[in-house]
Amino acid sequence: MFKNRFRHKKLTRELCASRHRFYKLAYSWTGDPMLADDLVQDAMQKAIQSFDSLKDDSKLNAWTCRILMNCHRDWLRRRKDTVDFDDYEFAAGDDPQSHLSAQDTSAMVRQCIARLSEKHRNVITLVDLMEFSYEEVSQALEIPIGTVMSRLCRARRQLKQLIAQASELESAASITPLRSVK
Amino acid sequence: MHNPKTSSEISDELLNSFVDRQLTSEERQEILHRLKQDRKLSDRVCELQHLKEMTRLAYDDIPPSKLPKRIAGERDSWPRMAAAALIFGLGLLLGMIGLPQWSGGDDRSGLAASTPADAHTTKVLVHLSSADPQAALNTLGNLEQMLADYRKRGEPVRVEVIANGDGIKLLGPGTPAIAGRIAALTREYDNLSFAACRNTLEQLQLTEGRHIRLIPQVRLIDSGVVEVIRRQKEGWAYIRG
Repeated sequence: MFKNRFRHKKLTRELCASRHRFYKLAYSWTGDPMLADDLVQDAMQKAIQSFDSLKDDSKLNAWTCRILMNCHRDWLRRRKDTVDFDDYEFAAGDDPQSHLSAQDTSAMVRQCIARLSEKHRNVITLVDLMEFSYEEVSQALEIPIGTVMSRLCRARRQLKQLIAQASELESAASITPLRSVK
Repeated sequence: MHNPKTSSEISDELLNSFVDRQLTSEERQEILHRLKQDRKLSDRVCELQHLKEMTRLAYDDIPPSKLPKRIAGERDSWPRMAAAALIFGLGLLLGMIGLPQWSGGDDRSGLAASTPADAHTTKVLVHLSSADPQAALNTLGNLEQMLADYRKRGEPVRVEVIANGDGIKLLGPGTPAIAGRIAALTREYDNLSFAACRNTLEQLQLTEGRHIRLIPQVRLIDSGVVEVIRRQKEGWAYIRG
């Protein structure tokens, strides 16, 4: 009994230590700080209540990511039953013109990430924000490592195009926050 | 991993794995070896690294989480409560004994992130990424005018010129007109500084075998792009030189 209690405490501590990264991840999926908080809180509570079903403690983060992803999917389903979440692109300022009002490069990159399909966004955020290895991404998304690699490759290619388009739009409109002195 | 022959034979998947540090040591060595010989390959790696860095940095300044530090339902443990009681008791005791006044004292730590004076300082970042010497001379001319103008009006300003990409080639002794101008400007204005991107320098050495010896007024920073993004986030005005 004490061993189990000690394990639970250890896992809870590890989860708490990763919470900011989970929050960033949820924010990258939703673009909404309050919703990101809700999803992380929900996922972490579910994780804590289900520690007994986690077979390998070293996979805690990948396992919790899967729970977080399910929480997000549940939210999407509740929000709009007719949207296929695999093809879902959330509409957080994804009108190309809205790029023009982006305050800085980071906001523009976030908007481009928001425009990726869910599959692409998941893999890129797990690798770059959660700093997961490909193996951990494969565990979190329950897909083979080969698929992780090809999906990541396509995701980055698409992101690069979106960023290039957004930058061109900004230059063309000449209302970029960057001033030019020649 | 099969032995790659040319840049085009190395797949994007493999380069992504390289950038994400997912390769074995041997595979990594093989790619590093190819990078020294293949400019196109090196450009592809740079692009991927840049993209990765931009993604990572994009979420550094998002609104902070409003969640409490601890997860709801997590119970206090006795050691934590005892420690809290101890700290409270100590605080009470110190309060009763009396401590030197902290407020209004000098901050000698040098760690104050932003002082009132700093808040009133105009901060300008000039990004030098082109190797056009005439354009750079024009930019330096504009900067001098601006610095003189602020000095005349008695308004504080800080200017930092960050060079990366081809712009770095202008910060060596190979362009004496620019080097001379930089030396004169930094002598005259201590609120003007120059920085160069270490990544670009290393890249130039790998791809073109060129070692650029920077003039002494230029300090080295790890990544020009990261620094530019960071400064923009901190509210610095951005000027492309």
